[in-house]
Amino acid sequence: MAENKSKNLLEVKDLEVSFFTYAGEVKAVRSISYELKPGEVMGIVGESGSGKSVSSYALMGIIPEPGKVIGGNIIFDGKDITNLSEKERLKMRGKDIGMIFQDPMTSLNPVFTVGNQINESLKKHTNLNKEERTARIIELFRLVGINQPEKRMNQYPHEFSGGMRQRVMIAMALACNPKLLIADEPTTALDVTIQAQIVELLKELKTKINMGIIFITHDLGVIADICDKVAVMYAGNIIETGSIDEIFYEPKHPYTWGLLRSMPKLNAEEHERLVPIEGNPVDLINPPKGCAFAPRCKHCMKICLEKKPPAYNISSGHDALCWLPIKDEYEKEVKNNGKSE
Amino acid sequence: MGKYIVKRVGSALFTIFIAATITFFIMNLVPGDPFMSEKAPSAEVKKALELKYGLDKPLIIQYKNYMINLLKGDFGVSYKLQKNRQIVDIIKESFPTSARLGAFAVLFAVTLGIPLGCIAALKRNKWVDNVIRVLSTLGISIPGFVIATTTMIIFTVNLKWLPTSGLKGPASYILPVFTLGFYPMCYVARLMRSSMLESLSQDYIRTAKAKGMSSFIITFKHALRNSLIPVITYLGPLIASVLTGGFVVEQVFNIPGLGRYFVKALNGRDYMVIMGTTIFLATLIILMNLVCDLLYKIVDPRIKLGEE
Amino acid sequence: MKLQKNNLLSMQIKLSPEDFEPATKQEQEDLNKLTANTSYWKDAWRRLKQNKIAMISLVVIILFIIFAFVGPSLSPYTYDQQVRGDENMAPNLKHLFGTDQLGRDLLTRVMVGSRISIIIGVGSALIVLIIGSLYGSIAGLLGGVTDNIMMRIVEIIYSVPDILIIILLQIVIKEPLQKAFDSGSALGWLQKLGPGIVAIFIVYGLLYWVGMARIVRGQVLQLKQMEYINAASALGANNKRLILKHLLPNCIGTLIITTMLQIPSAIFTESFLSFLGLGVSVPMASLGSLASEALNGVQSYPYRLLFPAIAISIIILAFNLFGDGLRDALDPKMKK
Repeated sequence: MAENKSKNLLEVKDLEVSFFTYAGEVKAVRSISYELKPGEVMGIVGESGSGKSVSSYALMGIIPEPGKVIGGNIIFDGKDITNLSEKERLKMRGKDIGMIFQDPMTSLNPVFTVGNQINESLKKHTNLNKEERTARIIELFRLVGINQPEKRMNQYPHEFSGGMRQRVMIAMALACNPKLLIADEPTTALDVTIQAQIVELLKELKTKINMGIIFITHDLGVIADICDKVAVMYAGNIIETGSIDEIFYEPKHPYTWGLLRSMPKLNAEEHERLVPIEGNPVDLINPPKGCAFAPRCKHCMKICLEKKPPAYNISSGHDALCWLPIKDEYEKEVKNNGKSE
Repeated sequence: MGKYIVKRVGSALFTIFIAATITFFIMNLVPGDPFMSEKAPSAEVKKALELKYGLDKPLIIQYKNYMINLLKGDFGVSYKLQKNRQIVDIIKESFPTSARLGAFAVLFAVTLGIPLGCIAALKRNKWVDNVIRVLSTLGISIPGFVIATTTMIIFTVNLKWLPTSGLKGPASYILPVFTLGFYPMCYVARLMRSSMLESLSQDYIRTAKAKGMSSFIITFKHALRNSLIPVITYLGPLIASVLTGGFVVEQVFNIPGLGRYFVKALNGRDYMVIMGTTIFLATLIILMNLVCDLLYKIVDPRIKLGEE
Repeated sequence: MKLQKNNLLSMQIKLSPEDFEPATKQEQEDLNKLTANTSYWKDAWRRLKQNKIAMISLVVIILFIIFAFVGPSLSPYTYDQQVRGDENMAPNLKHLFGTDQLGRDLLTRVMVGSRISIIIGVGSALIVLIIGSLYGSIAGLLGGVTDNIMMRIVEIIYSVPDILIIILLQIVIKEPLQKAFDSGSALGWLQKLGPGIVAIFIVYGLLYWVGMARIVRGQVLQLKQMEYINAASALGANNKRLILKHLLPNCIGTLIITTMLQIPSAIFTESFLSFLGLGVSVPMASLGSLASEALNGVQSYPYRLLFPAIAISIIILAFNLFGDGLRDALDPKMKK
């Protein structure tokens, strides 16, 4: 156990995912890297199309056609799973890695009972017999806070409310005690009060079960509560990563600033206007040669138009893909050099 | 459930009433006397008709009388093709043949169309899919009488493999059932393909994948059942298309069914038979739609019964 | 490869103070143009071009239109010209498709028949489009009780078996129309079309618009909802994008697809009516009526059925496949 703690549960190195469409290659994920320790919760934030979901599908090996991992490595629990055969993948999915999705209304099959849908996963990945599986489902329902589990497990998805369905999804993802849980926008489709409940539940489960969680969302506000660290994605890149405090209190990338500004504050006046980030996301088929955010950036400089910014290390664990902090540093160094000369 | 059934049955009965009313008034648009058109029937028939329907009375009274007779199961009499014969008797005599033929055709369409559609969907954009897609689209593009005539010439006249006309023995069923079922079979295949693709792109399929389910289970458990639902809703129109397709097939293959009789009535302008048969077939189609609708609600647990 | 603090100058990247000058608005906008998303229609066209089956169908449709509309004027015969001594000829050099029992050139008849069939298809589709979209948008816009009543009517028409009613209407309408046409009291251009086609148009106008009306109403309701959203929340610069990228394509796309698929269905229905003797009237001929006329002597003169039958199958097939391709290309759901 002790040595496991220091070991990474998940290492993603220079992962690249492309979709090969009629119009050309869409570079959905352009070389991203991150690490996750057991029991750690990482948030991935970004607007739709930023590659945040696709990167997590890559972990599961369920990138929809015509997408493909074209570079990099995924090391899970010390094992490289980038090029696993489909057969080995099937064994892992749902067992070692569980996943919950954005819309609980459509993510459950409407024509089967929820119990049936969880049972199917247990049947595949465990040696439990029928009674044990039923007992496990009841246990799971209790764990995620669904009352009357014996009755509820024989109901169809449409008999559940949105929040309850998401609890079913969580129970399903947790069925086989996965080491990693990927939550792909688990609260986006829910009411605000239900959102809070689901986040609360995940927080509770995080302490109960020692598993890593990747929490994907487009809303920074939701993850403040639950995550240890955050990666902000834009146009297939992680443009800033750091601890919760660093991202919230010392953000360095103008896109992160924008995200923070567009985030509703809980204590804010009701009528305070949110500030949306202007402009459209970039075309991933022909990404600009400079910084992908340059066209929308209020602080855009000449170099941003021409050169892609390198990952700039601000402090340990806090990196930003931006010329702006480099500019400050550069000016400081030039000034210092001038003095010493 | 009970409430829904009552409501649905009620609306079906209302539709039947509307269909009968429309039919009656359309037939009365025929120039001249609605019941006897250009050639006057024999005096005795005319008298009988006048007595029965009060043809001298205003249209609205005639309508009332006709509808009351319909309720009693009286469709009137033929006055041209088979003088004075009860239309109900004609239907009783000829419809079983059409129904048997139609049932086989529906069976043929469904048992072949569903698997073909599934295969095409699973092999999307591969050559198998392209072949099935083009062939099934061809199937809904060739008029029924062309298929019927062509197959008849090839298999009965030229090759002499199958009997020419009538329905005597199993071999004589092959061509009529095939030609009658071909259009709906192709339609089902197309429908099944697109609905299977639709199902396969649903979020719950992604969930099943994320659970580590094999592609076999994903296809045959998660996708198939959902994609069958639109096919069930098509069953109503399918039965309608087989019944009207019967007009062509029974004519070409000389099968003594209701369809052939209807075409005869059309050509002979036997308006009472046309009217009676139309109302009978419309009723049948509406009732079949009702059955399919109820079946659909049972198969799909999402639909809360009692709701619209 | 990460840049660490305090070592910028020693790094490989050459930096100069000019690099850090603010970029102008113009420069940013130029970049935007370069990376601007391809428009929905361009995208759809690109997808359509990729679809080989649809593109072949499009070419076939174009060739067919040329065949039907230009062809007859190149032919030495007219569609109703009875060439003495050429009766019942099999296909030969003088008459490529042969002749019928009256000595009429079958190739010319098939060309004219194709023209009539295309007019029937396109005309019916347009009638359905106009009536359906008017009715649907009125119902959707007015809403409330009016909408309720209008949609009830649609529902009733929808559930009455249409083909049976069409047969009845054809029987009833054709004769008075024929009389009107014979007496010359019909409007100029309608007179040219003949009573058979007009009867079919009327029937389509009476029955087939309900599907279109439903679709349009749905889209209008969606539009109303969108406006509501727009007014209520601050979507800022994204309004235009929403309307251009989501609403219009949804609406126009479905209309185009439905209209496109209405064409083959109308041609198909007309051929069925022709078989029952209720299609266009002689000496005018549609592909359907040509094929059904040929049924009488089919064992002795199979080519008389063959040519119109092939023509009608190809044209319906091409329209169907092209319609399918359009649907795949325009349907935003299939975008990914």
